[in-house]
Amino acid sequence: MESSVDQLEYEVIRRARFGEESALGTLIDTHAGALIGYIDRIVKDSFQAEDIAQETFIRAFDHLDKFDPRRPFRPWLFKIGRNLALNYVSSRAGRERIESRDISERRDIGTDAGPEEALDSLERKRGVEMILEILPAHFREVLHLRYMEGLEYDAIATALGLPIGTVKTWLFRAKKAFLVKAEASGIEF
Amino acid sequence: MKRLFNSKPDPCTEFIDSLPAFRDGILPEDTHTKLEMHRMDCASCQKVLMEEQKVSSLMAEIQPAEVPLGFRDKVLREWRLRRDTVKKTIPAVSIGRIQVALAAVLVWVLLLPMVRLQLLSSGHKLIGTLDRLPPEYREGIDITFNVPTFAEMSATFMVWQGGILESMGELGSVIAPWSGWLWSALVVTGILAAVHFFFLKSKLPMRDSKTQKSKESM
Repeated sequence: MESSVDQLEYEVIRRARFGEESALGTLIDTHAGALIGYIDRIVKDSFQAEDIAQETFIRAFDHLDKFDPRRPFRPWLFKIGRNLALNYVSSRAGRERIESRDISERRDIGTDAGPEEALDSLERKRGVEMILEILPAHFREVLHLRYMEGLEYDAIATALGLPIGTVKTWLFRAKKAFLVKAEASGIEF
Repeated sequence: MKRLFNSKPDPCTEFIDSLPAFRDGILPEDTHTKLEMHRMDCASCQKVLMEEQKVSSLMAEIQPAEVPLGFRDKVLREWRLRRDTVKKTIPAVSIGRIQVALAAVLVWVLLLPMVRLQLLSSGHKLIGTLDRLPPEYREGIDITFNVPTFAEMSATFMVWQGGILESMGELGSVIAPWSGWLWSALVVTGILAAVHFFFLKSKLPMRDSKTQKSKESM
């Protein structure tokens, strides 16, 4: 069952549909942080994530008439953001930037020191970030949506455009992979 | 296969499905108690819960992204700018009016010749049938088949339509001045909807965006 939407959000979206700027502003204030974080997780570039988030909001506002206000807004917004982010990632410019970033990060970890030693020198938070970076993209996404954004299975399914069964499977495997990497890296729970 | 025919999920599946809510303690009390009872007896679910807690605690280390200063104003400014640009580029003649005009042309240019062809065909069939009759039956029968002109057909159509409107009483008199437009709009809207649905829907170009431009320039 899709998560039900609260009355306040319903009202804000109703007003936003008429182009009321205060309502549009409320939507930005409520979802911008989560959206930028989610897109950043995909494109791995905070500046680009900001630009894509901006574009996501504009597209969402332009198509609010197609949105069912009885459903939660965030998964729908994330779906638009995800599509734009994936378009960017698959573009040549996106691929080049992500590859160059991956190389520089590998250099940061260092080849002389083992992963455990390298992780020892980093904060726990950075360690978790690094594990997420090396997980497959779809695992990273479901973990982010579930644990960072607190989305339910059905909301994740909406955001990713997948059946709930697939989301559950991905999440199950993602957790396993995440814990294996965390244990291998010596991160304490 | 057993699960396909059993609408009630097994306790482990139910536990895993409710895991986030169970972990956060937001389930109804009776459901929580039932799942807790199951967990205590199930080693597999205990392991699943432990993993859930580990992942959850590690993921909590990550700070949510910060919203850049002035982001809200930037988005609204850009949205306003694009909205105004779109307004300026919309032609003075609306799509609706173009549809109605097209419909009017289509009805009189396409529909009437089609009816005329149908009449011609029926006439020829009738003559063909008579020709096949034995001569004694055809004696005294003289058929002159006149296909109506467009003007005559238009007049007939108007009379037929008038009859319908008359039968609608008060409402008919209100609709009468608009009836030609209504017929036309009905036909063309249907055609345009079909064309849009089958051919254009998935092929509409995406609007150029700042993101696209920045991608190209990079």
